[in-house]
Amino acid sequence: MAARLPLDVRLVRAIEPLIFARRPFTLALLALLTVLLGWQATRLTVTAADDREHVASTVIQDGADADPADPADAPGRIRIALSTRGNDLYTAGFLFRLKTLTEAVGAMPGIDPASVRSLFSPALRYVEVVEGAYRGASVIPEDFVPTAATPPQLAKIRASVIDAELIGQYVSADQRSALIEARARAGATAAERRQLARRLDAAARAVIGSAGSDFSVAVSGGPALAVALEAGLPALARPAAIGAAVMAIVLMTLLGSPTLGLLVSAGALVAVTWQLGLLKLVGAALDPQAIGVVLVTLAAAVLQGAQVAVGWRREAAGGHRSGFEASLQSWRRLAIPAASALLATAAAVFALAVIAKLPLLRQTALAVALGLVAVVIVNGSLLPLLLSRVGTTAPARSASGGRDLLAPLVAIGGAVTGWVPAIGVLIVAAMIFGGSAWQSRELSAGLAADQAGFPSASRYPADAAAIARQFPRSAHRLTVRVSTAPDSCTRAETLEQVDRLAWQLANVPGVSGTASLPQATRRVLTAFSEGSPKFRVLARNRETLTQAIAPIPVENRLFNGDCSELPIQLFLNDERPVTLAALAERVTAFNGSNAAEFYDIHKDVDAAYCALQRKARTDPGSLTKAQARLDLGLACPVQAELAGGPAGQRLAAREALADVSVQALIGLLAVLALAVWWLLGDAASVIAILVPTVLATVVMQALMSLLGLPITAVGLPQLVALLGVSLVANLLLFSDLRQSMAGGAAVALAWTRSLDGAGRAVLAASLALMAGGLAGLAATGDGRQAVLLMIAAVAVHGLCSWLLLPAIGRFLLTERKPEIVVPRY
Amino acid sequence: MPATPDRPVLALPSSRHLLLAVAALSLIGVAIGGARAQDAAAPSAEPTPIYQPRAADLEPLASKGLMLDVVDTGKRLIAVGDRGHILASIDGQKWAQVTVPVRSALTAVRFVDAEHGWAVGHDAVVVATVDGGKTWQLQNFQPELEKPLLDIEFLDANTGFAVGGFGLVLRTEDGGGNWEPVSSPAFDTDELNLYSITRLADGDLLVTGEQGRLVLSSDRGRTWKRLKSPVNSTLFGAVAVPGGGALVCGLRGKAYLTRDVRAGAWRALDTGTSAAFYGCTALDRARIALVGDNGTIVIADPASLATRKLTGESGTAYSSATLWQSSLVVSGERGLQSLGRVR
Repeated sequence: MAARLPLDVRLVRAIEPLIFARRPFTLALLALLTVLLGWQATRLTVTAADDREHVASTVIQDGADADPADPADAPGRIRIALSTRGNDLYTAGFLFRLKTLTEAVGAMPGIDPASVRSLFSPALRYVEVVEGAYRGASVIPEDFVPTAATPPQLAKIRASVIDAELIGQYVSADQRSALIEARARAGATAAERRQLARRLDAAARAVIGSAGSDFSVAVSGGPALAVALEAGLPALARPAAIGAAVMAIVLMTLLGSPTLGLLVSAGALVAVTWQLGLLKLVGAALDPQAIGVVLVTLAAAVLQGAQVAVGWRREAAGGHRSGFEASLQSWRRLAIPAASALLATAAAVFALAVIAKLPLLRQTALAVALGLVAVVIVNGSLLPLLLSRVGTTAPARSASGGRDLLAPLVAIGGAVTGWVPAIGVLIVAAMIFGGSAWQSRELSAGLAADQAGFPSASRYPADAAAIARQFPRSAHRLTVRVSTAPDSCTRAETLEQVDRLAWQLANVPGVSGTASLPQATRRVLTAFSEGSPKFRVLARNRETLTQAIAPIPVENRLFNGDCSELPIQLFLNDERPVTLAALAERVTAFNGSNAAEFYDIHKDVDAAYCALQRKARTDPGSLTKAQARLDLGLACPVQAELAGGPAGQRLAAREALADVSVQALIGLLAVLALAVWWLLGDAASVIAILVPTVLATVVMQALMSLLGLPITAVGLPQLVALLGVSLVANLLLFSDLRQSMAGGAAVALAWTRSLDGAGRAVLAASLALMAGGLAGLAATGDGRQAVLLMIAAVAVHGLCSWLLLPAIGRFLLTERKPEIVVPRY
Repeated sequence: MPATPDRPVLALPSSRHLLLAVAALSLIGVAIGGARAQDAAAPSAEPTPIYQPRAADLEPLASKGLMLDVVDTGKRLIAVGDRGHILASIDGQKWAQVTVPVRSALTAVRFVDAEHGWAVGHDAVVVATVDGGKTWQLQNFQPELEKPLLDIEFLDANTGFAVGGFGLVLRTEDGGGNWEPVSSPAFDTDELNLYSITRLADGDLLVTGEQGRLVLSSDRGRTWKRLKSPVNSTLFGAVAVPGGGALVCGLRGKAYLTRDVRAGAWRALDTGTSAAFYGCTALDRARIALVGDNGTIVIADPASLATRKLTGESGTAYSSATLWQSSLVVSGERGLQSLGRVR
């Protein structure tokens, strides 16, 4: 009985007839599919998600990440800052405009009127000391008429703003800007939220009207961000067309054949079409900031397509008389290795789409994975079929004749195979690896929303930055949930614990301030005692506390309905992950030390009792009958946890992204190592192929770190995909090299041959992609980060492969038998 | 003990039945107790006071938190404030927090020399130092009174008085070893808050408080006499002026000066503000600083009664001030600030 054939051979034998047996039929089918997917692609929604920061993570507790009653927490939140160029905002003109705009926002269709907050909201209150008593009132009295404002009234508003501690929250530190916060009504669709953002923007501009030189407005928030991003899309068409044209021209030149260049470029565009069509078919949308996924597909398609074209030409030049024969032989040699590596990469990226918590990351990863699948199908079937219909004479001749532009690069690569240059290259590579690994430790995870991707005329980035800078207490806010027994708002011992925690958290670097019920209560109690700072302490008497919390509006979100939650609002200077880590550590330490102190005094409860009490509150159904009979009403220590708020959302998102990026890169490398092992069957090949890819990836991370660019939700899947695409090139180059050496060639000659074959394709594709990218950039006049990073990545991966592969081959390859089995039948 | 099992009704038991029932109940009690111990450890029935003295947390931003008093000991500045914070500084800029055995807010601090000092605060706390403020020992802690101590004054290293909320006055004759309540109709009848106690140049003790309360002792605190006040709103502070006189300051920018407290004849100062003064301190013989709401600082000349208003930095309330190396150092809601030279 004949020995069982290797899997790759069996795969080749199984798939080959499907593609080549009935070529006209297959070609027609693929053309039909392309048309259908093209139609689907035109229906794809390119839309910016306005809940891109929402994530559940282990640090920010599941289910506690958003407070639906908090306009700052909701995905449809919008912030409008009205600013004056005058000395301050306490003028009749400014306050008139602020009031008009606040009322216009509240009356706007699609807005949740209860969510609107500004200085004119009655809920913003202050407490003042009057002779023998205190008084709590709205910061701006309801009967205040801006146009009839008197200087004493304006001075009073200024004092009330300070008393109510609104600086940094609703009034900027320089007191020239005021903030209006609002959110879309519950249940509004994304389109409605965007429509609302447009209306709000128009209303804000109308309010400043002809006085625009004295006043300005800035708008930020999810829906406004989506509108700004989508506004940039039409402007991308022209540079994309120019870039694609330049890429095709360079490819035609470097491949030495207009036909081959055109076919590869066309194949790449078809792959992109399939990607977008498939994306629509699976019901997904594409975010404008994730538009770079198209570039990844394009890069993968051109790099692999160039291999197919060069392979075809080599077969044609090697004596196969027809285009079909050349195409078939080339397909048999290249299809399985390239498809395996690309599909392994697609699987790893798809896994990222499954495990990632960030919606934007999931969406981008799915788009990248579908793009890679499209490349495998198009370059594995459509391109070979098209090549099979090309006559061998013209392209084959033009490759051997005329000026060979790639010859000098091939020669330099060949020179690296000497012992001394190889050692030199490896030493330099090791040093670069060390330095890059060190530098990339600084690489941070960021959100796509922080990054460029806006049209150059967009006001959004400047508006959002200005609002975050002027109103840090509104923008960089993190909530700490403090759970306790119901009716604890007036329990002095509970308030003292919350107060102590708030103070400890206020001392964490990165925290600019805190707000909590105990702090507000202390302020009122001060007023009870004629404003004396010496009475700015918590009273022990429950009746006094009951009176003290009476003027504190529930809208301040410092306590919940039954007073079982007394959250602490933290205002951060910035949103560095280290701040979240320090806060999490402080909260954990507090829970431990506070509970120990509490149990030391209250001998009638202990940790087990209080755990049971919490369980009874959160999951009463899980109690046993005996437990349910217990009296669980005794006081327990407060329990704190980081909960949410806008800054918390973003910090958690970054945390989640940082975690998943490490998992994704390590996971992909493991999968690719297995794929290479399966294809080539030895550790030397795995090392030789993976090392340049790993080095290039680390160098790219170091470069991003140096430029201050974070790994983003849209960038991570692209980075992972590029790693896979680069590995395909290395795989083909190295198997060429190994095959030549196994045939008796010296390393130098083998590498030159390899470069002349697979290497030529890699070089041509890389240069074409870089030229196309640069042309696209020049056409927009806009420094688009995705394109620049793509150009840098192609260059770095190309350089690493070009120099490292032969240097490693010098040491790892000796006389070996060829192990890629090429079926011939 | 909160866990109470359902009990069987015992109707007219015989003694044997009663014994059996008691035994059964005991067993049920043990079983329930055991179950409770399994689910939640068995509690002890011993009552423990809820409020016990606990060491203050040491935090980097202590000097930026609420600070209520600052004094010049002759060698350094010592400041006290919220959460049992006591801080020391030798330049008025950088502050070091020291360990204190209580977390109660400390409202006032006095030193009789560079080494011996006392601080008072909420929970009727008194802490003392004998090493210039490096270490502090607890002398009094009475949270059950629910009355704060708001100021302290010593006549010498042994005899001192602390005054506070709801007419609370404590006295020591042994340097704080024992603090005894002082009873006098001048304090007891209406239990008004007593905000300050000041030793005048002639040795008298002047207490100020709510509703313009002025109380004087001319016999080292043995007897106290209520004085006729120039105002019926709260007086938060007082400062001695040469010759047995005093300047008092309080709500709504009110300040009055007399050359002889015993004789009265208070004259109002035109401070130019309606902001409350929460503290007043003699910077030198010719200048008294009045500090208060909205960062208000007014400098008064006790000789001419002329005043001039300085602009504070914080916009929030100040509670006390002192002069250190020619700079004005203030304490208040935003902590300790050195405001530079005062003309």
